[in-house]
Amino acid sequence: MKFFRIIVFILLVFCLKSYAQIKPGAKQIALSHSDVAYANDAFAIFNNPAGLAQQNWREFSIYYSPSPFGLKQLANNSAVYHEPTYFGSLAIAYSNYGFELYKENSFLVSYSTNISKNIFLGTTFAYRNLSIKNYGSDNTLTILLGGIAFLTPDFRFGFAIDNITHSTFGNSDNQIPMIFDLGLSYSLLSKLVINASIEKEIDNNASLRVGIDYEIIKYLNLRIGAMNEPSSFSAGIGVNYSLFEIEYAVFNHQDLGFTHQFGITLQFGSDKSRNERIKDYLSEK
Amino acid sequence: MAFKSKIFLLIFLTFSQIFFAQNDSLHNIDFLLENILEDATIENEDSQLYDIIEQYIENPIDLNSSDLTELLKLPFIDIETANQIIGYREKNGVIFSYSELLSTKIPEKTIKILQAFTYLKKTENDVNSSFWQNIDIDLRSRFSQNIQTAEGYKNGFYDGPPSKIYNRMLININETYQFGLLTDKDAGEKSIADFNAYYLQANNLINGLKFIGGFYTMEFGQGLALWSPYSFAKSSDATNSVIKRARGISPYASSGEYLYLKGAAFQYSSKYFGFSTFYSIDKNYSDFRNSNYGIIFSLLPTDYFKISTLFFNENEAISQNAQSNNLQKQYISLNYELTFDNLFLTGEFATYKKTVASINTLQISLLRSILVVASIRNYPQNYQTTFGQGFGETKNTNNEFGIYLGLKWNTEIGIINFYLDQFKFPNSTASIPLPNSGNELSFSYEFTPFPKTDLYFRYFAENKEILEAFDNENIIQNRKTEKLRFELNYAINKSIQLKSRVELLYLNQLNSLEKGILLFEDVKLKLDKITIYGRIIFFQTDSFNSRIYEFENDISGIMTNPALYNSGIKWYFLVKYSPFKDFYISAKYSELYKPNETSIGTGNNLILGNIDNKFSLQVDFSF
Repeated sequence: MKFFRIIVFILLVFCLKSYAQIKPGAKQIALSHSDVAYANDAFAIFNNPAGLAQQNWREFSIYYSPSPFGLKQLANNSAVYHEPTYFGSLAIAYSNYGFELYKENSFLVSYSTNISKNIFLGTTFAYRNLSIKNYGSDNTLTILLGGIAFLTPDFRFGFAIDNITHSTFGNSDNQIPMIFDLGLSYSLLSKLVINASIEKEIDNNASLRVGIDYEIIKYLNLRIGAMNEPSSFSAGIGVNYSLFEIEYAVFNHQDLGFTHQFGITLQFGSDKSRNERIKDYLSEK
Repeated sequence: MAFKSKIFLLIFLTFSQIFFAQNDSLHNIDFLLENILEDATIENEDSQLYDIIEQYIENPIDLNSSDLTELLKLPFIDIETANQIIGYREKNGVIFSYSELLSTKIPEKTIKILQAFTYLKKTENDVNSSFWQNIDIDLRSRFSQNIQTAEGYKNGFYDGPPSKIYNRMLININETYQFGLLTDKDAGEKSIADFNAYYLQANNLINGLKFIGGFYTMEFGQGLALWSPYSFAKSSDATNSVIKRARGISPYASSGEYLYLKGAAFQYSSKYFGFSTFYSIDKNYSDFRNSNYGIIFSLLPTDYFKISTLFFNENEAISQNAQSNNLQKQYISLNYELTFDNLFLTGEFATYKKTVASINTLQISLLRSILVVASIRNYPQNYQTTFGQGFGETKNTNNEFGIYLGLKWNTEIGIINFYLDQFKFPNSTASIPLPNSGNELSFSYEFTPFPKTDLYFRYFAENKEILEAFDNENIIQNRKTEKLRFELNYAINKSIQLKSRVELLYLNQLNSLEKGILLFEDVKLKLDKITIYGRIIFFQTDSFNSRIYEFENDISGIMTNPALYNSGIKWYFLVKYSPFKDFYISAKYSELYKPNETSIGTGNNLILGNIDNKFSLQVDFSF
């Protein structure tokens, strides 16, 4: 019976096509994924790889969502390593999702670069494996392309196109959604960033997202966000000290309740905040 | 056929010896056309506009010597701009560079348009006295094809191959004689010259006399009785689309197979007086013959007043089952133009069978920054026209009464365009068997918040009566269409340009509310010899009714403004490459993908599957 319930649930989740919510990153989730133009941590590899090239420091980050919508079977976790080099930023990541009956594994490699003074472009190649027990498995390659432009030092514009080749699993079409993201990000104060974006999945209604990232005191960030399709609110806390950043995020789904996730980041930049470091890096150019 | 091709070869070999003597116009065209055409084609799938813009670019006028009326003949140039130019010339003498105009109140976009349609000083090449070195030849060959095979080819409806092939040759000798030839084959047609058009134009045969033989178009007044296939419809540019700029006779070099004239035409113009006459005969199909002739007189008693009359006779002979039907239509039309200070007043009264169709438009510039346009049109039910294309909600110039009010305000913080158009169809129309009416409102605002960044916002609302089924009865209901567009243009540097758009559409009807959305990201990379355009579009609408139009860059000579509906994506790549001077290769590849559909298109153009790919290639060569 329990098995049956799980299957029904997975089908439900798939019908709702809540893929986007499964995209990792505690900070991204806390901002309701409104950060396509912001993308200032290693998890940008999943959302907008262009954001990696603006970060000139090494970073290692893990993320864990133990039981989305209260279901352990939907647990997912990811890890990212980011290395800036003189010819652009390289990053690799791994993520997995599901349980013994239904499992998705992805390996990601990304390259991003600063093509002119204030524009960044990046691409992520994701090798995905899906295995369903008793049905076999399939592999596919998807490509994510993204860009960020600094219209002014405080005003950013970003876009990302996921699964640009509309790759799919198996023989049926459109199993992995193509997603288009367009967003703006504005540093209202040096410690307060407002993000807004619109996301369109090929087959779903467009979703409007907003998110605010506020460094309330040194070492502590508060985040809130909201989106309309599916209707959801999110919030999060980030504690940064020395090399470490610990993040917590929560979001609710109107019908499916709350989901909690966590992240730990090891960053080898300076002691300044991320926004300040990026600003310094840009002004050096 | 063999004879024809021999002549071609001979012409080609003769002229291929002549050295390059032409300025590099194609690059400029593409650069400028995008904006111009996009503004002019909000809901227009008509691809002919490209040709007219190209004609303006190929025949620029002298910005330093043209007077007010000549400047006003250019599309998108209003009384304010024309006055600014003349004022600047009076104050500073000769204009040496277009950047000088930045110090006036003329918007940057308009300066770009001027750059395309005018010249400042003829280049040395153009004043070369030797006859043979003044021959310019432009060749254009285009091939395009859909990758997927449509049903019409499988069931034998189309007997030719699915490729579209277009060839054009233009020869210009000494700026006096112009010769053009084009052949066109549409998809499914057999012969490579299924449609062909040609013309010979001679300018200044005797001082002020122009002759065209072959295919040509004739434009008179505000287009109520006689116009070419090219006409601008309502557009976000609120103050310019209303007024038509008649060009008189011009050569016809489009592949659209309608509304041209075929025969001979003369036009004489002097300072105070103008005269034109034309005759045309065409056998469109085996059972349809149409012959037309007309005369135009113009008087220009003073610099600011012009009055012209047209007599136009149209004769259609249709022979069916050994019976022939003759239909004769006669038009007399009067056109006036008054330019006085900051005021431009123009109108036309056209008569047909004792009914009079009229349009009167006033353009007035206030405070040097506000331009207002008011126009009133009345096209009676009994007024019938084949060649007429008067301004209006429909292109029929028939059964319509309308009032248009437009405003353009050039403020310190951006440009505002606004118009309101009210229209009434006093008699039954094709779609509704009762009198009906509607209105249309558009507001747009563009501004530059940061250097190199342009933001654009547009709101459009239309109320129109439609027939809708309700309780098993057809009733007339109001349908409200609202559209919102946000656009961000960002020039990163000289070579890279980004453009993003979000467009929303709401369709309110009695029984339903439909929505549509379109998003795209566009990248343009312009390098030394190569320009690359890429765009990806995501769209979703509830049905075909809520379709959204999206203007695309295409290879030179083509305008693409497809309507996108249901859910899916579209992307394209366009590459324009010029390996050496006056030689261009352009190629475009596009894909439309609609995951939920099992077929795309209808009837004989139906494609099985959910992907539609198209490829086009064009070579342009001038020498």
